[in-house]
Amino acid sequence: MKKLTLPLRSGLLIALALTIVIQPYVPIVHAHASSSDAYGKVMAAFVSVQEADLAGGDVNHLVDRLNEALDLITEGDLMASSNPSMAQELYQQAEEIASQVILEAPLMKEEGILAQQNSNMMLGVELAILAVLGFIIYRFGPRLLWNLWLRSHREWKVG
Amino acid sequence: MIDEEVSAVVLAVIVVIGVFSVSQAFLAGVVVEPFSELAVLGPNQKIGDYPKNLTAGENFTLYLYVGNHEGKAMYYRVYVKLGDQSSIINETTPLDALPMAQYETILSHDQTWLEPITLHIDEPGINYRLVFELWAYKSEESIFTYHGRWNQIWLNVTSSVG
Repeated sequence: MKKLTLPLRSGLLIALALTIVIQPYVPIVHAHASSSDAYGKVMAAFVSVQEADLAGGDVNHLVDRLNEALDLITEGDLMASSNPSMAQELYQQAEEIASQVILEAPLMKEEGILAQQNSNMMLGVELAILAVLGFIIYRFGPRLLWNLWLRSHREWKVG
Repeated sequence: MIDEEVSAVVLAVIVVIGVFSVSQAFLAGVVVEPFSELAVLGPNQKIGDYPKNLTAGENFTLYLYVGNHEGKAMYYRVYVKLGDQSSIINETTPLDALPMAQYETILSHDQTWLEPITLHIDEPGINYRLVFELWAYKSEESIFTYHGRWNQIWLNVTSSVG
């Protein structure tokens, strides 16, 4: 193992000492989830779900997830005064669900757009087939009809 | 001559079928008249048996029913407010009172929601109007706005003492 040089060793020691001295004064930031934050996240998620829905995506699953989040917020509100830490945990869970929904919604939107495009393409194909069939029937239908009529009445005799 | 007549009939049938098919394809999934539903059901989940006379602080159960036929997912909020004979509420103006409770749900198109709710009124009084208002989240404005649907139940609340 390579031995550390003296300036490097002393530098590391100073850095370690500074860390130990300063550490208690460094503010520790906790993420405090609140009811309004959770509601805000659900609203943001709803906007993305509605966009996906309007694009033709299947959003039923996402809607169910958001209702789960709303239930968690309601539960959190009920125990906010008696058990604040539990309430915060519930708000946090609700926010996580909403965040997942925000991530999933654009995928549903893309699927919806794709499905819409396919549907439009199918409609175009159907209309084209209908037009071709219409032309064929219009052009050859009467001849076909009389041919069939003649075949079905071939036993008839002119008196 | 006969061929021409048959051709004309065939053409007419083709045109009718074509117009019908195209209109069906374009109108599929289009909601012609979007609307939302709000109903308050009694404790037996029926329209009736609503509480009329209560004691102050007494719990009573009702069922909230919300239906979405707007053609898109909707985020609803139902406010429960307490008013009296002089209170003003209609399809454009919500009741000017603080909500005593609120309930929220998100519904897909053609989805409905039935939720039991338990309420109590602490202040005695006669001819109370327990008002339920339907609000909906407007994505463009990022706020809940009054959706014009409301129900009410008339109540008398007597003092629990004596």
